[in-house]
Amino acid sequence: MEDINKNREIWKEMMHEASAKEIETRILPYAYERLSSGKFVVTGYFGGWVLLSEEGLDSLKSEDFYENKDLYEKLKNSCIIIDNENLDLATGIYSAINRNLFLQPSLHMINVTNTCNYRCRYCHAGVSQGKDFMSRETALKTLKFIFKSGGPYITIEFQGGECLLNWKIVKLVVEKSREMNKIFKKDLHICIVSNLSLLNEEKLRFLAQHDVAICTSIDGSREVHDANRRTLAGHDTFNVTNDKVLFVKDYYKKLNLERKVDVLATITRLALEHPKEIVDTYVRLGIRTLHLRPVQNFGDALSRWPELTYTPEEFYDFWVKAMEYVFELNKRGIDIMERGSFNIVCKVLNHTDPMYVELMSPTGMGRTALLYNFDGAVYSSDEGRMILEPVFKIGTVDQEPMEVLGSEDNINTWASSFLDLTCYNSPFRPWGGIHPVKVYQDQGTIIPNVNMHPEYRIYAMQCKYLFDKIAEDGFEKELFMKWAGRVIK
Amino acid sequence: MGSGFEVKNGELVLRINPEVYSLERVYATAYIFLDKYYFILDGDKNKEIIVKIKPKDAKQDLEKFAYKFFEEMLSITNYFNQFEKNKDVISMVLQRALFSITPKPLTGKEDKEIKKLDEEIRQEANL
Repeated sequence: MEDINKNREIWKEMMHEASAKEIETRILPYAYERLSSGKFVVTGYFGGWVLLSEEGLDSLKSEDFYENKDLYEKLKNSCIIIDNENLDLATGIYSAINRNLFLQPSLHMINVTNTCNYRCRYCHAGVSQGKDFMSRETALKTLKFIFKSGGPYITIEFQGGECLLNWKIVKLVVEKSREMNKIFKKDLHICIVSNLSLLNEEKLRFLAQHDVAICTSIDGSREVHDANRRTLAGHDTFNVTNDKVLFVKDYYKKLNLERKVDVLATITRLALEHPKEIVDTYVRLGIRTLHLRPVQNFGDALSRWPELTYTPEEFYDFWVKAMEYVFELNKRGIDIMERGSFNIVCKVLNHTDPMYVELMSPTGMGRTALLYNFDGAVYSSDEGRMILEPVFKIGTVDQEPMEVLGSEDNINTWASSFLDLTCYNSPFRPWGGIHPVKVYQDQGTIIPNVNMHPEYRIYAMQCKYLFDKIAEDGFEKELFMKWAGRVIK
Repeated sequence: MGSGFEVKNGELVLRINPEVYSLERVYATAYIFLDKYYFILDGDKNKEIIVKIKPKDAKQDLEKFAYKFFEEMLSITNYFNQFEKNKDVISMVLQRALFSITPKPLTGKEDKEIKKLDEEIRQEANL
């Protein structure tokens, strides 16, 4: 306690120093890129941005904008130029789009078992069969760790394997965390990620009563889904998942519960030919948020990588086709949102942080998100447990949270992921991030070569596309504004 | 010694005046193109920096790339010069943003709840 008070005093003093200094108008580091319309998106160091004509950009480069009132105001509002008047604005933009930096861990993923009743072609977790279940003792220690880690927001997310195979631990953690939260009064959300095959009315009743959100995977059309996701015995699973999603939705409707089922799509090579069919599957099921995520080279996916994967450009072409179709549907009054775009436009248009771990710089791994494995090991991310070497194991639930979060390995991972060091010339840097586990898996080191990292290349192409649409100032921009204003828990 | 380049036997050799571009900027620029080229750095960081470049794909236009390399190096140098000039303001904004939170210790009631959980964990371990 004494230490905390001492720290507060030091911080207050530094705050005072930071506020008291007079600064003359100056240009901060900025980066720019030409859009399809010929305009340039110019981004300031703290995440403000502006669209400029070539002439405007030339004026900025040659520093002769002081006489041009309109340009001067634009540059000041976007904090590309800074003085004492807009220092608070720059601080505000930076704080808002990086809200994650000011919060203790909030996403706590619990891997209750590595066992699964499915054998998906790309299984990232590389599941075991019939072993590796979390015990009651480890589950209670995990809860202690979570509640002691201190943040005002807690999301507990059950992961697997197939979580419903360890139902008694899921029940224990849900009941116990809800009970403890009567004292802790955190903003507590609980979510289960499951293939839903073992979901029955009794389990669904329990989940609904305890306000547990449900998330599952549908990889798109029947053809693609059944090729990717099969049972251990090799059976198709599209019908089962489809029926269970409808079962959950009907149940919510009967009870007048305002809830939705979250669904994720893992995009394999096979899916690239079917962007419209994937969107249509989601629309038919009444799913309003579509998340098109590239397949990852973890677990079982490694042995089939050449047949699953594609180039960043191929994924981008697929994504553009899906986006064009999403626009078309929205024009026809069908409300459907693409989650990857949401994560970007939230920051760009609304200056809010969607708390998406993969777009945090430094990484949100081991800071915003933690993974508790069935054996009590703590990893800095879900993917951290999926690689063979224990590089991203940062401690155990027997330790104090501060000891684990402050471990040298964890801090080295954060430091290596600070995009400012490697991505200086991209106007999309202030809203992006890099995932150290994926970098490690791709490049054999946690220090990223951003230009060679497939996901960052996809991110940069997606940003350019979104800015092209924003610059057009039409229906798509309006739609992005609507998406950016949404709150996703 | 002035900066310049020559293309010979499918290899590009850049000669860089270290009074214009430092070795750090040469490293940073080469790093950007690692996906397309092999680099061998040589010379003397105080007299002349030599960069030997071989494309991973033989079809690359090396003369064009030489200009691109110098252009990128100029852009990097300008960015980091701006960064250097403004580092006091950047750190001021970051300080203001980051110092807005302080760690919060457990309250008495919360501490009691953790102790209750500890007791359950002990019982579970003894089973």
